[in-house]
Order: sequence, then structure tokens, then C-alpha cells
Amino acid sequence: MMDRPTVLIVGNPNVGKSSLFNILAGARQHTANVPGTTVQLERGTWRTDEGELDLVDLPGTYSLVARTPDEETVANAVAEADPDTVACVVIDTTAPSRSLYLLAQVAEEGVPVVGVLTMNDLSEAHGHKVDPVSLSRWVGVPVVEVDVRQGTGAEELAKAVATVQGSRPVVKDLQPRGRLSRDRADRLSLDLDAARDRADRLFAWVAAIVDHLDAPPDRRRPSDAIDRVLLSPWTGIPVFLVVMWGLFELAARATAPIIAWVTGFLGGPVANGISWLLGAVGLGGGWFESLLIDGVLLGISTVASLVPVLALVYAALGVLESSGYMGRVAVVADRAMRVIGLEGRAVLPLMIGFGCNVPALTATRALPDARRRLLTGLLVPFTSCSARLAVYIVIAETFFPRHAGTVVFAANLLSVVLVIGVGMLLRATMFRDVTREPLAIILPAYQWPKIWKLTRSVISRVGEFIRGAGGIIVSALVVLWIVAAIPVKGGHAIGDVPVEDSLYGAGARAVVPLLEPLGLGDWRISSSLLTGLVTKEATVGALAQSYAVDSPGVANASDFGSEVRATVNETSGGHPGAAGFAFLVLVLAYAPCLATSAEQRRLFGWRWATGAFAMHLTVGWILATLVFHIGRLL
Amino acid sequence: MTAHTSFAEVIAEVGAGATVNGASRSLGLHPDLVAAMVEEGERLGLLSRYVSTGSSCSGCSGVMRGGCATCPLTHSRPSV
Repeated sequence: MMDRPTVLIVGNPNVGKSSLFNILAGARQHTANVPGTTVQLERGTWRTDEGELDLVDLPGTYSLVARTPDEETVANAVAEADPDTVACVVIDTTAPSRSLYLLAQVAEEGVPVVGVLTMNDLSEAHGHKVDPVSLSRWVGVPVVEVDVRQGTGAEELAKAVATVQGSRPVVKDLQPRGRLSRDRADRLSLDLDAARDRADRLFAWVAAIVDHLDAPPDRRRPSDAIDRVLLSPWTGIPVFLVVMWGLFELAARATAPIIAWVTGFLGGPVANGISWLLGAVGLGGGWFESLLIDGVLLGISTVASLVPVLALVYAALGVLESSGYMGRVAVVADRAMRVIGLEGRAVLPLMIGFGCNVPALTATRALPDARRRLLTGLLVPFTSCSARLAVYIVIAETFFPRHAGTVVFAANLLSVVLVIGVGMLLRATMFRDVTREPLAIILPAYQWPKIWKLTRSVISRVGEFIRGAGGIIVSALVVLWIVAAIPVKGGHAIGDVPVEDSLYGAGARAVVPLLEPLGLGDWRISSSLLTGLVTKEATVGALAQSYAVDSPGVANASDFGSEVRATVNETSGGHPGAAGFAFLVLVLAYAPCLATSAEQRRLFGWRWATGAFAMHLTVGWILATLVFHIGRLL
Repeated sequence: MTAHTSFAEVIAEVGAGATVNGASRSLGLHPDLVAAMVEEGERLGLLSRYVSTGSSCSGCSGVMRGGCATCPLTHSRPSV
């Protein structure tokens, strides 16, 4: 069977590429991963009068000089295009310069090009509709207008594609030449002068065409009034805080019943079913049942309980991104973020981190530069997630019952200070190459998010999390079960051993000397901190379990608090307040939770995930020690 | 875009702290052309190199001086 010619749909983000793809491919489409990457491409078949064509919807990019895996895919697809491949470059008539620059780069790669005008209805509304015939004359390649809303223009586009197929691009005043984007290594070794001169030449070409288009240089939009509110530091920052608060509220309230149902279902009927099945085959009631239920099933339950939160946060992020609001947030936060060498776009992952660190790490992918993504990803776990909030409340109620609210607020404030402080430290040491570049973005037009695209994006991102971090979480909980099930004293059987007599208890005792300088040298506290490495919420539960106090009932909770206070009073030499605040600081900073570490490994690799863990232990320990010793003096 | 306005001049303007709209007005360019130039300047590493080397000048006068040797934008500037 002969290979069908390929048509690449190339264009800037949010210019209607996917809508164009849907019009041309109809239902004949599927999603496929680019080999060796997590980048997904939409592929389909375009049936035209001239025959069938393979259609590829490439990720959006502004340039073939790639910075992200998605953009690498575009650059490689263009650089490695077969001779009969045609690139349909989508030209957004509301921002033609960016589209034409990309078109010029594609044409210089030697790929036959057809320009596809979209958004012309929006341009018409602003009084400067672009005439495709005139633009075709100025550019030198066929230009076709396609109304992606009405679905018109596909036949003309098919004819234009057939016209240029197999030809060399004849873009006016530009010649096909060497490949800029063959691969990343080539790009990094490029002569900067040559790259700049090439860009200069292409921009001069773009500018000459844009002059013809007669677009008003600084046109006003109806959305300018909204921008005046969202871009002012006085109103934009409060609006952003309200939006983020709404997101957290939604994430907490909407997902709580789902999480309760999922964990209840797994911990109830599923666990009972496993017990019944094991009992039926004569394996019930022993360590194997405990391993399956308290190890494997607990791991699956932990991952499953994260899925609703992640799905909702990813969906909310998708709405913020696709509506155009994210660009506004980046602008308004830019000045503050530059203090730590980051740009405005980094504010979103850091804010999401106050809800949950895991989706916050995923959100770093919106940053265009790998070093900034990494720097932000190292700072995210210093943001005080909502899981830690529950621990703060218990610690504050235990040690500062009359000022609990203030203490919890101080912990969150300290989280912000830590992000800034560690950010400045990292920038001054390991990230000196991250310069304080100004954020210069042109704001995208406001748009309604597309539900189907959003849904696919959420499914894809959640799937990535389950595949990348889910296995690590389940495995780690199984390992934790094993160390808690192995008795080291007291003559207990495997899987039936009190915590203090287990290998886990022995590990907790081994850590105690490290906590003595913080006034927290007790195995029950160290065991709660070890459990907190898995999930922060479990810190309090582990502490209560170690004290063998049942959680329900005010009297019991009070007893628990009194016992902890009495212990810390003893370990701190009579300074329970200072040690209590050191405990709180430790919970804030000593380590990311298991899911966060797993996500860091997935995004940045083992080396950085391990380094981040070590950095947290160091920073948390030093800070908590300082807090304790300064607190003793007060 | 006027004939003398180059990619390097836009990078110098924005690297010195101008916004996209500000550079657009002062250089007489369309904002999305300026944005495209800034985007490409970032990708090529020109903007960061300009910020780390060239922006310490008291404004880029367009005339080559002794300290301009490390500036990534000097290539397209007239020298004296």
C-alpha cells in the first residue's frame, strides 16, 4: 500500500488548529503518542476530491526554535517532513506577525506551505479583515480562509494543498535553507550572531507584510476594560487571590464526598471482599491478608483519593489557561516573582501548591524554560499544602491553645518566606544562569474554554500521574507495611506487632538523636514525622496511634494534647512552646510527601527528586533548630 | 516597521525594561510583532544575554563603546 501524503497543521497556540483538524478529519481521528515522549498528537484522515491525506494536528508553538517537548515535536515534524508533505500554517489574523514568522520558518525548512486564515471574523469585527487573495500575493504561497466555526473553506484548502504538494515553497523573498531545528544539540551550538541575523531577516519580511495588512497598530478591544482591572496590581492581585481561594474551596468541598466514597468503598466492600476471598482459600487472617489490605490496597486507596483533587485542579487550570486569564496573572505577578529569578507565570504553580503540591508540580509545565521549571519545581514543596494545615491546627491547639489561629497563619506566612528565601539561595548558587528576564507577552484574547479539549487534557494529565507516580506510591506503602510488620523485639509474629516493637519503631528510635537539638527527642514524635513522609495528613494519626489514644471524643483529644505537651515539656527542658513551634516548622519544611517526591521524580528525574528531598531535610532541620533555640531565649 | 528598526533594537528596548506595548509605541511597531520578536529573543537566549551583559549600560545609545564588546546586540550597531 502506498503511503498517503501527510498534511501537518502548524500554528501558534489557540489559533484554531484543533478546530480546523476536526473540520478536515471529522470522526476519522485518533490520538497517538510521539515515540519516546509523553507528547500526544491527534492524527486523522482527510478525504478530499484529490484523494486521502494523513492529517497531523501538531502542538501549538510560536517558533521552530523549540523549548518544550511539545515544541520539539513540531520542529522535528517539520525538519523531518517527507518531500510530499505539506504544512498548513494557521494564520491568526488578530495577531498575524507571530503566525507569519512561524510560516517563514517552516518555508525556510523547505516544506511546501499553505496559509490558512482563521479568526478573520474577529478581525472583521475590529474593522481590518484580511483578504486572503492579497495576502497570498504578498506572501507568495496560497492562502485560504477557513471559518472554523461554520466549517467552510475546506474544499478550497484541499485544492491549495494539491497545488503546492511536491513543490518547493516559493515564499516571496525567502529561500529554503539550512535547518535550524533539526535537534536540540544543533540549536544549542548555533552561532548566536547567525541565529540573530536570520531572525532579523525573517522579522523584516514579516514586518513588510504586516505593513500591507493595514492593521491598527495598537487596537482597542472590548476586553480592555476587564484588563484594566485584572492587570492593575491594586485590583489584579486581589482578584487572583479570590480566584485561587475559589479553586481551593471547590477542590476541598466538591472532592471531599467523592474521596470519602472512594476510600470508604476500597476500605469497606473491597477490603471485606479480599478478606472473604482469602478466607475461602485458607489464607485469611494472617500477614498476607494484612499485606494486601494494609499495604497494597492502602496504596491504591491513597492514589485513588488524589485523583478527584487532581482532576478538579487540572480542569480548573485548563479553564484558567484556555480562557486567557493565566496570561493576565503572569503579568500582574511578574514583578514579585522576579525577586527569586522567576517570571510571573511561576506564580500559579506556587499558589496551587498551597492546595496540593502534586498538581502544582504538574503546573510548572506551563513555564517555557526548563531551568525555570526546575527551580519552580524545587520551590513548590515549600508551599504549605492543605494537608499540612490539619497538622498545624493540631500542633497549634496543643502548644498554643489561646493563639492557635495566629500560629497557623504564621506557619503559612513562613511558607511564603521560605519560598522566597530558598528561591534566592538557589538562584545565587545552583541557578546563576537563570537571569531576571522581563516577561514580555502579548495578552491572548479572552475565549470560552472548549469542554471536549479540557476533558481530554484532564484525562491525559491524570493518566500521566497514575502511570508515573501511582506505582511509586503503592510500592512505598508496601515497603512501609513490611518495616512496620517485622518485629525486632517482644517475640511477636510478622504482621502482628505493636509499632514500638517493629522495625519501623526501631527506625523511629534511631532518628531520635537528630530531633534532640530541636527539643523533640522522643520516638513517638519521630515516628509521626516518618509517617508524614508518606502523607502529611497521617502525621497526627501516627502520633495519636503512638500514644494509643482514640481520636473521637473531646476528652480523649484533650488527653492526647496533654500527653504530647508533657512529653515535649520533658524533651525540651521546660520549653514546650519553642519546641512546639519547631515541630510545626519541621512539618512545614522537612520533606515533601511521597506523592510529591514521586511527581518530582517523574518531571525532573531521580537525581533532582533526591536532591530536593535532601535539601528539605537540611533546611527543615536547620530552621527548626534555630526556631527552638531562639524560642528558648524569649 | 520602519527600515532601520531591527530585531536587536527591540530586544535592547525590552531588555532595558520596556513593555511590549511600550516598545511598540516607541519604535512604531505592531504589538504582536514586538511580542514575536521578544519571544524569539528569549528562545535564542538573546534577551537573557542582553539582560546579563548589555542592560548594565546606562541605556543602549546605538553607538559602540569599549564596554559593549560582550553585548550580544553590538553586532548590528554602528561603531565609533
